[in-house]
Amino acid sequence: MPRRKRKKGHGNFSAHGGGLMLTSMLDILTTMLFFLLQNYSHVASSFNVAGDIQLPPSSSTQSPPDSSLELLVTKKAIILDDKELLPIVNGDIAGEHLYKDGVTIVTLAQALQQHKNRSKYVESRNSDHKFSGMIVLQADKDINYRLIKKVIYTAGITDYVMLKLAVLRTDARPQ
Amino acid sequence: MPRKSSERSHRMKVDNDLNLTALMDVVCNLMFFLLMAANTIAVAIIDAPLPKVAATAEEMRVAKDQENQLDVIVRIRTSGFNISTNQGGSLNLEKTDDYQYIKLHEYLVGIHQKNTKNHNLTIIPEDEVSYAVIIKTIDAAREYNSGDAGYQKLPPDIADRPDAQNFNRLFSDVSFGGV
Repeated sequence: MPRRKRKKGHGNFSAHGGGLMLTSMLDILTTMLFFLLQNYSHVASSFNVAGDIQLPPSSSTQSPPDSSLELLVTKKAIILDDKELLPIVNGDIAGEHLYKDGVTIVTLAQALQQHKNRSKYVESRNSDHKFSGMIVLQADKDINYRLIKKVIYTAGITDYVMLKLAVLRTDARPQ
Repeated sequence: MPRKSSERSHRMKVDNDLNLTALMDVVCNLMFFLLMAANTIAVAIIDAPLPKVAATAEEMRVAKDQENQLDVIVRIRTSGFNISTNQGGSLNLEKTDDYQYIKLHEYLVGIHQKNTKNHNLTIIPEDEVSYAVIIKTIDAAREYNSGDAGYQKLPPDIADRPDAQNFNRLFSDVSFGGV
């Protein structure tokens, strides 16, 4: 006796074509999405870490400022406000980029002076804006103080004295 | 005679369910974007204002007042720490496998206990010292840990307020010396 053929469309899967049940998965993803969106609102300060910098870990919990001038010192270059100013060779600045005192980085000093002049100009036009001299330094954890000293000295002589050091929070991400 | 089939039986069956696939695509894309953005959450900052040349009369007066304050200096050498104060007393903590951050912290707690109003610390690293070591030193000097003499338990009503940062401060006002 020939076997009776199974009727199509009456298997164990859904009646609508036997596809995946996406509804529950979508529920999970939506919950995660709301969680991430909430976190995203906490970092509205748009403070980003450059990809080629490994910040040193720290127990500091102080939040980054909403807006400030960002100075990056990677193993390869010094970057101010997303613009690469000069290269770093063998963990230091080449002598040709330094002033006679051996500490001031000429290109960086000029760039900072330009930023300061611009900020002072805005200040003269808009009383709400004030030049604070605030600068956030993002430096790689392996960089020597020899180089950092030159950078912060140059920042200091151009009136960027409110130095803030960017670090990686150890309570947020285990090292 | 066979019955003519009704119009109803010839009607196509309409699928009333939402097509969730496109929505899933959108949500997944958003998720990856937000996960990448979440990278910035882990960043904190440390204040390290640079010394400024006193120019105005007020700044001169403040500078004069600060001359009488306790000044703690931590020299970070490649061989270890040297801690000294302007009121005498000095300690060398030689580096073994790593810098002795715990002993540095304990010594600083001892100094701070004698003058609890002072929070200023000057750090003078050697040229070869890495940035990571400088930050760890600042961390060791920042605040009292639970178990330290002088540690204050944070009242629950203050825990979420900005005032909480004024509790258990050790030498939290760091500046770089010798720059």
